[in-house]
Amino acid sequence: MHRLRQTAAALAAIVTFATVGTAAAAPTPGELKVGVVADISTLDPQLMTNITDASVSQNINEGLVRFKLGNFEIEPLLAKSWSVSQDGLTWTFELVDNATFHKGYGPLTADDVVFTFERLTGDALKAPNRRLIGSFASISATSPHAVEIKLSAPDPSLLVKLAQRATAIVSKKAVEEKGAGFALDPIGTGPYQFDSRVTGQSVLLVKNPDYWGTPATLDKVTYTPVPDSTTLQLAFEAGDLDMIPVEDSVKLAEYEANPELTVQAVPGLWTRFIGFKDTVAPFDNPKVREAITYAIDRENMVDNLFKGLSTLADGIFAPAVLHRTPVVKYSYDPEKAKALLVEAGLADGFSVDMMVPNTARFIDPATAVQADLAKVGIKINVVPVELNTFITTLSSEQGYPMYLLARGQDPTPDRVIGLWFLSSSIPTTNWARISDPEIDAWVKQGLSTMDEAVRADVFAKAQEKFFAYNGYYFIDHENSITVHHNWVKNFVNDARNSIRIDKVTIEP
Amino acid sequence: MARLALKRLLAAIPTLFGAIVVVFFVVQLIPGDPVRVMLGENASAAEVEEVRTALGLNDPLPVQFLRFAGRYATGDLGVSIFSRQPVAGEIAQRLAPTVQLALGGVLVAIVLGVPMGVLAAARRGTLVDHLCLGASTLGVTVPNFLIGILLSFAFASKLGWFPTLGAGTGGFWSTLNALVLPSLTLGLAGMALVARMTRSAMIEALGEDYVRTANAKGLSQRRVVYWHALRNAAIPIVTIVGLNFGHLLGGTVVVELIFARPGLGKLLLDALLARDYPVVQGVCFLIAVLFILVNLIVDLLQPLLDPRVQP
Amino acid sequence: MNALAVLRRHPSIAIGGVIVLVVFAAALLAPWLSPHDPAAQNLVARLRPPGTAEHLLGTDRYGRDVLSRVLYGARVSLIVGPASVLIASILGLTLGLAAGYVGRKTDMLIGRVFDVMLAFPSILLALAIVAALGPSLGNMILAIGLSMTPTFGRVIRSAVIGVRARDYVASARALGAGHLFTIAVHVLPNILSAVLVVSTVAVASAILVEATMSFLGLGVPPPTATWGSMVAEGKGMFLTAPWIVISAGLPITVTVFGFSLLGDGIRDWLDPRSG
Repeated sequence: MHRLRQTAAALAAIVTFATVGTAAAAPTPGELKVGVVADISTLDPQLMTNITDASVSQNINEGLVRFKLGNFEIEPLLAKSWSVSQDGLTWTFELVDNATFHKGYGPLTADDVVFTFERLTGDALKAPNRRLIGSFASISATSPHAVEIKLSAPDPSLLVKLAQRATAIVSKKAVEEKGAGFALDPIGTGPYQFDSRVTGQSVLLVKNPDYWGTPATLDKVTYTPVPDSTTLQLAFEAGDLDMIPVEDSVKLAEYEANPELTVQAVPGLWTRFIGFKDTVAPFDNPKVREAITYAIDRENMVDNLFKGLSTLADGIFAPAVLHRTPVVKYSYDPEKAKALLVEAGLADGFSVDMMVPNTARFIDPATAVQADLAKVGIKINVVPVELNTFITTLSSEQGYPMYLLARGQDPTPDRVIGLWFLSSSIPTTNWARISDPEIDAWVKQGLSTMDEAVRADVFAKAQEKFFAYNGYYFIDHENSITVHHNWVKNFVNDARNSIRIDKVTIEP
Repeated sequence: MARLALKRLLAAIPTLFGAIVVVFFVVQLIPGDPVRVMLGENASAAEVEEVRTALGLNDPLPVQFLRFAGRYATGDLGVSIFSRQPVAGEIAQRLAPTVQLALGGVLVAIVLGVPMGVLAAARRGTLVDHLCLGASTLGVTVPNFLIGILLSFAFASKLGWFPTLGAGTGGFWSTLNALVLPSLTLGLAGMALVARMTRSAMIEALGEDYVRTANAKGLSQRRVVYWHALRNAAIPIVTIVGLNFGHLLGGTVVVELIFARPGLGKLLLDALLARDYPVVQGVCFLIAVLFILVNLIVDLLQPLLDPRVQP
Repeated sequence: MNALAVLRRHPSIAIGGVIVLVVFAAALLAPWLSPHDPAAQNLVARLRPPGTAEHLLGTDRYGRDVLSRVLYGARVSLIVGPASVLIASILGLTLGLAAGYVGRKTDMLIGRVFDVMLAFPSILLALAIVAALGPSLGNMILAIGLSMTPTFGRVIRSAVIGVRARDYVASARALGAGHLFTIAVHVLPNILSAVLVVSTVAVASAILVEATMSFLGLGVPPPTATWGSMVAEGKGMFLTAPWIVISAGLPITVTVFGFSLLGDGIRDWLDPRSG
């Protein structure tokens, strides 16, 4: 009797929980639940470097311009119009006059814009992207709703840079008031405002009722960080999350075959590659680097392991990048690889550590490459490293002799070509340590002229020569893939997986 | 009682101090330079040296240690390299879900383990006994990550009874709902230990004189078993829960990962991987504090549970 | 008391022993028993279900043969387990002997060190060491061994104290035996049973910790097959390809069970009053 009563009580409790549980999984109109892989680290636009931060922040802090939904054309945002002087050194931006900051922090004025840029480029903040606008000289407010930016050299990709997070406008008053606290309580002009955050669990944005532009279509947006890919998938499949990124080819096939889900795959702005430090043995010998390019069966990897997730890399930059050229060509020939190794004096092969960030996105190709290289006598030890530590070490004097990574790019090549190709970027971003005066000259020329024909020409030459060094082995261009339930309407994916929610609604 | 509490608290202080010592020195042993990690890739060697001096890292170790201990004594646990937020704040935000999870695990261990142990003791030597022992053994031998995966797939994904992730959306029932599967995952290993300890303690207690006396006096069998013997067994059970608390905390790392719950275990793991030393130190210290606290509670519970134990 | 009689009275030793022997055999004979190279990828034949002659237990994400990986995975577990226990027992023995034999001050100091170490969950200690030194087989053994040392130390200390009080030790000393001699000849043999019991159970624990660390991504790096990393890789497709998780999860459970059972049985045999 006693035991029966206990069991009955336990069952009743489970049923109560169960009903509460199942209720939570159904979609609510006006509320979007986004699943992301990493937690935010900061919501301060001038400080952020990771993609989750950017995805959340774009709804809160707006820039002078932004990309159109779904592609990379520039459209006005806080700047309603702009003009540039003949010599390309002075840009004038007219701001909208009805934008206001959240939570009563007042209207947007040119002072806020000036404050933002000075904050970005100043020494105090030590912003990671402070040299984003390399030729930035000064900014001033010419009227309450107009600013003038002066450059020391023309910058053909300035507008693209102004569409990025680092230049998103913050409220001067709020930053001065909140100090370091601004990073977790940001104030902007966007359609959504920051509501709250539970560390490691969720970030909540709510609709900004006083938004100056087209009203937001959702009442609440929650970003849930789930580092474990299985849990992320389970939560999505159970309906606890409305949309998640897809990074697994098996799951991709499953989701594509499911009529209740929509998969949006867009060629992305990334290239995955293996990198070598060209100043240490054995990679200082170009024959060794060449040998490796013959030893890896890229097609096998991309067709089978990454089915649907990427396309074979035919260029250093992804196809959507302006002025990129298809310079990448490899052939799979293990015998030739072995022959080259013999020529390099390494007939018995060699052993080396290859560092990779510790997520499946990099460990998967690393494992496949390891198997390929083993067949020609090169023994690779795959060493997974946490991402932040990885980037810090890679960018230091020490670097890594061999590693696998992916490079995110912009619609214009300027930023990345400067970081990768120029000898002045050794060792922080020119990880292969390629120092070639011809390449330097071409790149510098392309970066400082507004003539697109000239740019196309010199960038093409630079890419061709850069590729010939084999300082990197380019694997594939990853796709940007998001899957969502069919009750999510009007979501448009883009090549950077920005999670733009401009017109999204929930219709259960 | 109060005197006992005071005595135990005072005895805990040297251990706490020991924890501070360990936490300070262990970081010195780790290869790599925390300042370089802090300043990032663009810093030159001169800048690094400058910051090192400014932070007092070039002072003699005993001086650094005193400074460190002083900060900790006043509750300043430093600032996270990664998030630039105070460590104490990062910990505070995750303390509640971690404590909830730990309590949930303890509850599961006791609520499932004690009846199992009692049953096994009452039916000693029979099939039931062996089944109970076997079931409890499963709790210790099946790795907790496997249990977590299986529970998650079965009850959250397939059946939809519980959420797949998170610590609930803030309401009481929602929090409890999100605690069920993680607590089960965490507590099954403890259940095994509690069941065994209960069983042996009960077997011993059932052989006692007063039990036989009670039996002879004719009180109903059930009441004798549950009431008198269990009270006696309470102390070793509580003791083993206290000793196992460390393992429990360790298990939270896996559970937090599988169920995407925020918590100290995950914070520690991420901080270790990212070389975020201030966070590592702060969390390790807090874990030590929690452990000492739990053992304190266990010590203080003993005279309550059994009046024969001298306070 | 002959071996057969012992086994009959303590079936745990028999069953546990058999399990452990089978796992050891599998690990030892892995190169001959495995139908394939455990690292050989076949990207065209990914995630094949078990049941074919080619792949008895199916294939994993990279088309590698699961059976071969399970067999080779046994090697890692059975190296890490006993090796880390060896380290823990040597260190624990040294410290425990010092604490129990030398005297009050040493005892108090060492006891405090153990207390502090035991205040940290052992797996977090092991994780911290591997995170600092980098994931590799050697570092794992070191990390797990160090984290288990206080447990060993404590048990050995109690055992030593118990033995030290015995008459034969006192008489040996009275007869002029040196300290080291006394330890070697009189103390050590008598604490052996305690060491044996703790060791067997500790191996089970070590294997679990290794599997957990592999699961968390801090284990021996790829392409080495370890049971824990196989579960980590396979959990994503548990519903569509359950054979990976099961093929790796089951051996962990069975091996740990075998060692635990063996340890329990040995304890029952040597000290029937406990448990």
